[in-house]
Amino acid sequence: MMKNNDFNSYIFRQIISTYEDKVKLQAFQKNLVQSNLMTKIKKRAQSFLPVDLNTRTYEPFIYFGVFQPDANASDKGIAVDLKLYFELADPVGLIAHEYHHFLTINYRKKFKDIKDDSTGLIMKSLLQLQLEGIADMIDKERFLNSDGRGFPSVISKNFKNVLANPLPALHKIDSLLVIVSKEPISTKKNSELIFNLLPLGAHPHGFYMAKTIMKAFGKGKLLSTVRNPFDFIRVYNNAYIKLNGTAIFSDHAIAYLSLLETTHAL
Amino acid sequence: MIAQEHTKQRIDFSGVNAFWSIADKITNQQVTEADWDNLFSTGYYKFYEN
Repeated sequence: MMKNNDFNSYIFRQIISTYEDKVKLQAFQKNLVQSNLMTKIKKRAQSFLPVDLNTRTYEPFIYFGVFQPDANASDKGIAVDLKLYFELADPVGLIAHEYHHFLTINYRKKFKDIKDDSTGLIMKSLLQLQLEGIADMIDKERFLNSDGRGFPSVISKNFKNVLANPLPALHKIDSLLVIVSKEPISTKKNSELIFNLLPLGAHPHGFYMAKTIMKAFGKGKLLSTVRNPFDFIRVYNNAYIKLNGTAIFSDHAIAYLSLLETTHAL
Repeated sequence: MIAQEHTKQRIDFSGVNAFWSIADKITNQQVTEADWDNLFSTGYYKFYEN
């Protein structure tokens, strides 16, 4: 019937166990309604938001449901699995992370969707690095300290493995960007390679980059990159230079990224 | 901006409530097409359609 390591079987077990815990979860749901959740979320997210996004009232729809151990954000709202929220070591951190996404998606620089864009996966990679990297500053320390309780255990294990050694992939991305800039015909193939170098939705690499910016320049500089993912890459590169004396992304790669930013600008 | 239209907190449990309802009916073999339609019309499941 179900294979133990198959993600679909994990979802089936999650749904079945949610129903088995119905009484407990319904009591939890009732308390959640009265918990002033939005205030807690905002308080938690605000330290990684620019002041102007913090001081105005932008409130998303937050949909609780039962499906899989996950949470997601769009420009309209947030969706959270109830049992995941119940089991997490840091549930408020999870929704604060998604709330950060909700605001970032709405208020960061917008880029064109270009039909059959061979650089599409490079753009997606850059957007993910910034989006997840800054939001991970809200909750990922506690997530990793709890070994990702509530999620499949393989996620925190893989996250820690990538976070322990993020530089080889970033060096490789630099060399691929240089190749793409010199050989445009290779763009589509190398865009896929770049995207595949950033596992787990680019969370661990983005988190590492955000932490590097914080270490070199402090939180103010990190928050200055919330509105532009290209700034996030450039500031990270400068942070790495400040800390190590050499760059991760070469001048050639940075120039190519600036070209991408211009060609995709709205 | 879409976010500026959201002036009130909206925490929606209709997806969870529809799940409790349909899970009970599945257990009692009473589930209908309308129950599935109801479940997948809630905000939580609509979120994942987009």
